[in-house]
Amino acid sequence: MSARIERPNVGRLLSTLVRRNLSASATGTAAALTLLFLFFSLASYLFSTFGQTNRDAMMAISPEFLIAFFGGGLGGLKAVDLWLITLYAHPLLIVVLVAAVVAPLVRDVCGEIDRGTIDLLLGCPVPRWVLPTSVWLSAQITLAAIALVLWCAAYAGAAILGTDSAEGSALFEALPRYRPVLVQYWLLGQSVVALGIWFSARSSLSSRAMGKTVGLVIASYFLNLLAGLWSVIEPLRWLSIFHYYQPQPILVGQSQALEQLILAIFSLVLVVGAVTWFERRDIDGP
Amino acid sequence: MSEPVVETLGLGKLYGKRPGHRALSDLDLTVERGEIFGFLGPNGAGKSTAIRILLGLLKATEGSARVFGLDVWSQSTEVRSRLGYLPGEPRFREKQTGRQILRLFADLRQRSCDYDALAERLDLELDRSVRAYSKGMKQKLGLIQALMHDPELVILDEPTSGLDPFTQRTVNEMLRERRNAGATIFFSSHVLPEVEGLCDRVALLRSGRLLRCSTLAEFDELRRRRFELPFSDQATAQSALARVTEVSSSVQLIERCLVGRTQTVSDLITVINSAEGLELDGIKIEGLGLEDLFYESYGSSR
Repeated sequence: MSARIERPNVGRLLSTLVRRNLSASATGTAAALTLLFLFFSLASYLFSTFGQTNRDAMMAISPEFLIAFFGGGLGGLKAVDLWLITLYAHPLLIVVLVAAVVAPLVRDVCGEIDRGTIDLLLGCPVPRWVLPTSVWLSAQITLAAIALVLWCAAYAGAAILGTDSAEGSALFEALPRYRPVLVQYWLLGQSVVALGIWFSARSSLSSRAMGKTVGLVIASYFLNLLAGLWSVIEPLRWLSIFHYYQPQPILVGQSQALEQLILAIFSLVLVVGAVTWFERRDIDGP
Repeated sequence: MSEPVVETLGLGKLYGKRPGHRALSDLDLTVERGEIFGFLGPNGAGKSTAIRILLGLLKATEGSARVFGLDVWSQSTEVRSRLGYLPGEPRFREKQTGRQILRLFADLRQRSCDYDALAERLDLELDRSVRAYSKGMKQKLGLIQALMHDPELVILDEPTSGLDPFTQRTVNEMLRERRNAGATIFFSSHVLPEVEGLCDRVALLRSGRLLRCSTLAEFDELRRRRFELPFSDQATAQSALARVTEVSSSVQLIERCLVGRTQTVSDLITVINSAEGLELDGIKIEGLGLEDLFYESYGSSR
């Protein structure tokens, strides 16, 4: 009997698995995106209801916190910018990243192993590397949807206020300058996704992979925050992925190429490492 | 002579570092095209480990394994494109219907698959959520996905587990049909009468090692007979026992009954002739099955 080599069409396999991954998490993602949209739209409305005096008072207090979080560079920003970058670094975004991106990707990689569903999946002619790659692609689509919702929600908030009001026109004027911030946010999301894929590809228990990923993201978030307030841990700040997510220099026209490159390399190394590891590891029975 | 469909040489799997756990040792197996091959052994014997190595889910730490002449690790995708696999306990994403799951596997195999015909034959409702399926229905769904693309090799881990006797019979018929159409069937089972009725060859595993591998006809033990000769006249029992013992050393006198085993049917006739003089109340003869062989082979080491 001669060996008849049959190789599957990898593009079709990826497309099939990405559709499967996205449809499995469609309800959760839709809920998270709706929450995000409502929060951002409402925040724009709240900004207008504060009144000029309250806004000035808030901004007089908050810069210290904002400087601690963003590591300085707040000079030259208008009140509307300070408001928006506070939103763009809000913990809710981390919650949404975890709920809409990390949880599904952990379920789709090592969750398949601990549930035992991977046996049938890899009983088909699916190359091992296709599985984490399809999960990474699914995460890209979800991340793009989050960025789009952020953008649409901010515009919706501005539209509710209308250009007739001073606040509405300030928001409309400020929003186009936030496109590069979305790129930065997308790169931060990439890093979180890469951490999730790294831990998932190495584990056989989804709870363990989820715990490690979320724990590291939260630790990273607070390391960046506390490093701005506590000089003892300030030298460790570079270890936090949030250190490389700084919207404010972009808004005053400074380049963030190095930070973006660091986030991109960090993500790439982790994803390639995860796919390579998954390709070579043993898949244990349930 | 054609190349074997499955061939392993000195296959072994050691989990962990020293001292580690040795799940499989020095397994030499050859499965020829068009045969139904039974893989037997108690829990922990290494059956599932061997099957997972053949599928490329585990990497062997010793020896080699080839399927269709292809290396099961480096050419795993090509190997899997030509086989169908049913795990010991098939699990599915439970929110989906049976039809959605089979459509997904057909898409992943990139082949047209007639799963409706198989579902009809196994009497499985495909448009229900898998969450509402019983264990047997999930097993049927797993069987359909393993067979629906007419694979050249079917690897089944406990295929009839959880199935009712009628469905078991249907599954066995389906496997015979596949074999007659040229497919090779490799399956593990604990249902020994089923293995006896279905398999061309059988391999027995114990503690990760191959104990025996041969056709059922080659198992001399299967020609053995167990007999019971109840009688009413106690006075002649001892002299009859002495005569019978010359033919069958395993014979015992238990109350008013001679109980023992013979190696062949001819020996059994000699035993009955030797019992001349006893007033027999009846004769009970049983053939030894694979099940007896199984327990004899594993003995107390199970």
